[in-house]
Amino acid sequence: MSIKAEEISTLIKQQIENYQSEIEVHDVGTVIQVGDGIARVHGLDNCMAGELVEFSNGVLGLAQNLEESNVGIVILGPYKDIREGDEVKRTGRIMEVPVGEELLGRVVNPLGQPVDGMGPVLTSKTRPIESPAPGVMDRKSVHEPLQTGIKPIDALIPIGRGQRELIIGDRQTGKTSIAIDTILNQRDQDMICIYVAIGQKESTVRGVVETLRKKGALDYTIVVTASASQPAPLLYLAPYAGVTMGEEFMYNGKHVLVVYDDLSKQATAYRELSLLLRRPPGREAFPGDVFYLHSRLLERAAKLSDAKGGGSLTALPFVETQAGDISAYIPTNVISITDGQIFLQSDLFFSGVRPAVNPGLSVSRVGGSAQIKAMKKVAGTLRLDLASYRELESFAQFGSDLDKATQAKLNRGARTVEVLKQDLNQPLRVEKQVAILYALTRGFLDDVPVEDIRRFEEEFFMYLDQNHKDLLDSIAQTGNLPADEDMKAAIEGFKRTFAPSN
Amino acid sequence: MSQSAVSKRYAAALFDIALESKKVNEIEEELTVVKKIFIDHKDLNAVLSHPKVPAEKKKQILKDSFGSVSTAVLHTLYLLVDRSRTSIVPDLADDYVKMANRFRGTEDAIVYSVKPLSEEEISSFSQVFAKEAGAASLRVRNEVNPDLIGGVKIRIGNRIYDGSVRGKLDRIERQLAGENRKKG
Repeated sequence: MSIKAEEISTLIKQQIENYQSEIEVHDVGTVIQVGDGIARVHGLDNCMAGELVEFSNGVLGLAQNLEESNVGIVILGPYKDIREGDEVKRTGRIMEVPVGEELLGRVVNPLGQPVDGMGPVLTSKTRPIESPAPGVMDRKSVHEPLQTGIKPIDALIPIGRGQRELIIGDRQTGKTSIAIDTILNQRDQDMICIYVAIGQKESTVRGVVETLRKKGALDYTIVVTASASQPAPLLYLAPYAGVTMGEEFMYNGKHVLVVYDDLSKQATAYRELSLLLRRPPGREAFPGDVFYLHSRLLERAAKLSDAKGGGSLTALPFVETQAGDISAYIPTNVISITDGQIFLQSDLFFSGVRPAVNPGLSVSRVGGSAQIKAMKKVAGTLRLDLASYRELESFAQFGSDLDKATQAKLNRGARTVEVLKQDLNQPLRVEKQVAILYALTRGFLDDVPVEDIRRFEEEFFMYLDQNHKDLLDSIAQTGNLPADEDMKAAIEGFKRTFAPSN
Repeated sequence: MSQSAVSKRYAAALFDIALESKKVNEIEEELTVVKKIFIDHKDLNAVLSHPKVPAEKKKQILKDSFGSVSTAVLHTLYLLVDRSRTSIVPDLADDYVKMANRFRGTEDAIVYSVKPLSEEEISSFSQVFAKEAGAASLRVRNEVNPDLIGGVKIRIGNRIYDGSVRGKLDRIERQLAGENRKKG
């Protein structure tokens, strides 16, 4: 990028005009040690915790450890050309990132600089990345639904706007896919999405961005990326940068969804940084304040009161487990901070249940009140059905003679599992989810062969779109279930045209 | 510039002795000389910290080379030999000077200029900047640095008052580069 000649001229003009007047006063220190993205600096009297400092080559740093004779500084950028004895200046500012609508559709690093090669981001506002979470009186209880467009989640583990719902599971269990599908489904929901990629491969991030772009979801999305090749401080800062960009929208009365993918990598980066700063290690070598690291981040998710504009910021933090162990340090921490978790299991994933949500271990503590009435009615018994099916399933493998009731339960269970399956990148509108779940829970699917269920579902939606648009519209607009006989008529009408495969 | 908390403790002890015997300024001068010798002759510290040289021998060396200094300073050096802490001597001197400055209400300042300053210029600097630094008076040292191109740069403790041409040019450069960087 080049700058225009006139711009340089005006800048120089200002400089020349003010030339005589200024004497610059600054507090300085000297680098006494540097390495691994950390510098120890002597001097820097009166430096504040979290203050930005500037090295002599223009690279910025973040003051972290204030000790008796030196200050531990985290370097935000290339640290190879910082040498012992270099001068370090205080800036008197704390760290800020650019915020505003201009960021929508862009891919930026945690400092807010564009990395997508699409030119400068012309923002006019900034916000400090550490800011207090909304207080008690500024909040309101969560009451609007956040439609993820994913059947098992919207039906069993509903998420409300302003909620913090953890998505937890081993690697390769479809965590990121849930985030992407959720973002795709916000297309006409008046939501702004922020996807924070922490410590991921650049190629993966590129893939996500391309999917979003292809599906037209990038227009309302900001991607903040600190890839695996970035130094640890940037990985540590990325979620804060993301939530800060989201807060700007929230305080302007908008609804925001922030996805942190994933916080275990952030914790690892923070551990690296803390150990290099010689903070005492604790459990699993994480520093003592790793809980605070996540709690202060997630506490910034909120549903604001009407007096504050009624905006919301929903947080979807991700945590990767090792071999399904949810009782490790970081998972238990984040589980206790969030308002529920969605547990993805690899055995389910490999047995073909995708999304691999385990309804037994997943829970949403506040989302229930945000579900629409129609969904509440059809999904009410679903969780119990599934639980008793799982119980019976293992038991029924031994015996062959089963009574009618047990047989019926097993039948229904197998169909429920089938209905809750969903293809990648095809989020489903809530009215369609209600329709198929209605058919399931009211027993209309019991005589459809299990292997035909997914085809039945697909054709059923097509039929509804063509012949019973009014039913779908009424669910979408009123949130209530249409009269039983209308629903029944629609389903039976379709079943007459549906041909089972054998 | 002290880098160890240890040197502060020794300096504080020595300073207390100096206060009691009312020899704050003399000891300060002596320490400055000792520091200079320690920095100029790296070998001295190598000998003093060598494990094969007996402590008696080390003390003898110190006595021979710093025979004229006051007993307080000499004993401090002996003590440091016994404790294998001779490497903190320069830091100790710095910390002592800081304490002495605080006691007198003075502050050390370094004025960087392109050509040597006259006595009057220096005294006018010290008057103006003493108020700025919150000290009763300034002890000004003048250093010549042709890189500044023009103007002066004053360093008091860890604060720099930069009124040099070089600093201004650097700022212009930084600003222009910054505008460019903001554009992607």
